[in-house]
Amino acid sequence: MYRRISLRILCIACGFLVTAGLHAGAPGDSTFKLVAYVGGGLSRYISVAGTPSGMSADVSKTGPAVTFRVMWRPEHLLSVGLETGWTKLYSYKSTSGPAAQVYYSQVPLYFVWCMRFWNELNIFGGFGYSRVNTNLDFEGNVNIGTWSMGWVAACSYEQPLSKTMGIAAELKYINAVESQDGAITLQVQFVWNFYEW
Amino acid sequence: MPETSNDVLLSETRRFTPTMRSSIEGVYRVLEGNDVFGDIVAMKWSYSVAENLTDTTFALSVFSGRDVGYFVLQGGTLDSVFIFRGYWRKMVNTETGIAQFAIGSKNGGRRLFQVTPVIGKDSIVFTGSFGSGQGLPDRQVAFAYERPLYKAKRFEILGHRCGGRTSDMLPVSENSVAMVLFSPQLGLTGIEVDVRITKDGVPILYHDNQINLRETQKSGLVGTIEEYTYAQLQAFVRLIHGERIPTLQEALHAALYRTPTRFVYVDNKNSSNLALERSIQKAYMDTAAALGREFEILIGIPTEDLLNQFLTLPDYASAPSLCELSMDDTRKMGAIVWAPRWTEGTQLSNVATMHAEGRRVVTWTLDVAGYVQEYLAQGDFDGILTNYSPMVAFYHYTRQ
Repeated sequence: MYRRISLRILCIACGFLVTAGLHAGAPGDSTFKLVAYVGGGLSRYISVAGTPSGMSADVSKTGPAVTFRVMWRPEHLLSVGLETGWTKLYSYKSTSGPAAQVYYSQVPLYFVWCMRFWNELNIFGGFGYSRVNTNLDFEGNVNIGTWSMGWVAACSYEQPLSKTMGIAAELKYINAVESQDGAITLQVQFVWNFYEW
Repeated sequence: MPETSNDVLLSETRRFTPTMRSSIEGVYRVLEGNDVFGDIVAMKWSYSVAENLTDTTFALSVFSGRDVGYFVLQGGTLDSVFIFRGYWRKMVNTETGIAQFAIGSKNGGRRLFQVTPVIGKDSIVFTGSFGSGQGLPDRQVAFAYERPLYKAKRFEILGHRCGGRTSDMLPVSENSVAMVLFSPQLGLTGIEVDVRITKDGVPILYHDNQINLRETQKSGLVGTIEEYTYAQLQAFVRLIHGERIPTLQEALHAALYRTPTRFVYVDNKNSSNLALERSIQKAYMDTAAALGREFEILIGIPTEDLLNQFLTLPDYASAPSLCELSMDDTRKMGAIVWAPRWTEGTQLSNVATMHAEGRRVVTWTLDVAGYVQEYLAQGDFDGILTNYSPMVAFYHYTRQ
């Protein structure tokens, strides 16, 4: 029930944003761009990294993060797009008893929008679902995931390198709500206006 | 739940005798505290046995008809005074606190020391107080003996998920051995257990189809139970109050050897290995019979698929079972209990038909006070599966 309502809200919001975007520019005299952001950096898990009670474990809350994002950017400040990527959440290894390791990560599938300030500063916000994945190595290997509703907020500073390319530094908070997983990432991103009409 | 385990006075008391305990059980009139606990309460003893299978702890549960309220008390005698300490709570909200009672020597204490005490109206009076949270008890409460508990009809009070849901803020996790041991304090005569099969074929107790934060502590493990082996679950997953996920055998062992539980309804949540379940059922029921213990385990059949699987068992006709499907399916599989949804009503003629065929009828899952009263007064069910067992216990034991 909770998921059905969430999905409905997501669909309505997507429809609203797409419609708003389509009607935002005056017909005939606008330029539209598709802009790709590809980046990577470090993530830091800031929620409680749960480990089994009674297990002595070495926990790592820092790891790699990557982002792939495509934004539809009209000639005004608000743009919309889709984001995915991969973020390590946390991992741990048992330090006593038999060897055991858990690696916990997520792949977001978010609808995002962006507000641009002073041509260089972008504020992103979005929501959707994350595929939260477990890789367990203990008496065999289990690799399995589940969906968790979530949201993202990010701020990036973008420096143009040419007419179609740029480089950006981005600070992002990503939160898979149902599984209570929050992480901050700091990434360097390559920005490419790959299509314009 | 307030911490009540380190009571100094209680440690000085002597244990009640079986006669004392049975004499105390009954329906009591509330003399003080009616605004919180209603006008009458029902008192019933239960017990649980420690893991060493020798140390037994008795608990006196007091079931109130208001807001699914109840007390759980432990006690003993000090000279001719009966001392009780414990806690009270209401299941429909967060109200809870410490409670303490005494039966003074002139309020029935002296009488309860007799070899065969004669108990009648007002012959036992509990006087005491209750508090809020961890605070000292500061509000007066008193109960006077009114009449014996209703025992005219055998009736099963069955607890969902081993006795209660984690969401009802119980001190132990649903579908855990700890919940099996706790369940008699909630007035339960039986439990429903949710069975799933691990990747390596071990029947375990777990309700949802996913490892989630409703049922388990965060561990970095997600996905379905069936993707993990039993060893992996044991090593990495803890239930919400820290317990490990039990096997079906561990739960049955606890119910048989460590509680007075007499009815276990095995609810199969996925395509269980019914042949394995049947062998476990037979082993435990044979053991119970050898011990002279009243104890039945029923394989629950909630779907057509499981029904077809059940009918392939070579000895299905002799396997005690419970059918949630139609009356015809119940007959087809030879189930001894038919379990219709409570929303289908009291179904008096269908229940009478089942009774005439020698079957019992248990309805599920009934949590509404008005319907519990109605079904007990006008229905003829042999049991109710509920999340609010103190409420069902109250309405059942206070029947006249």
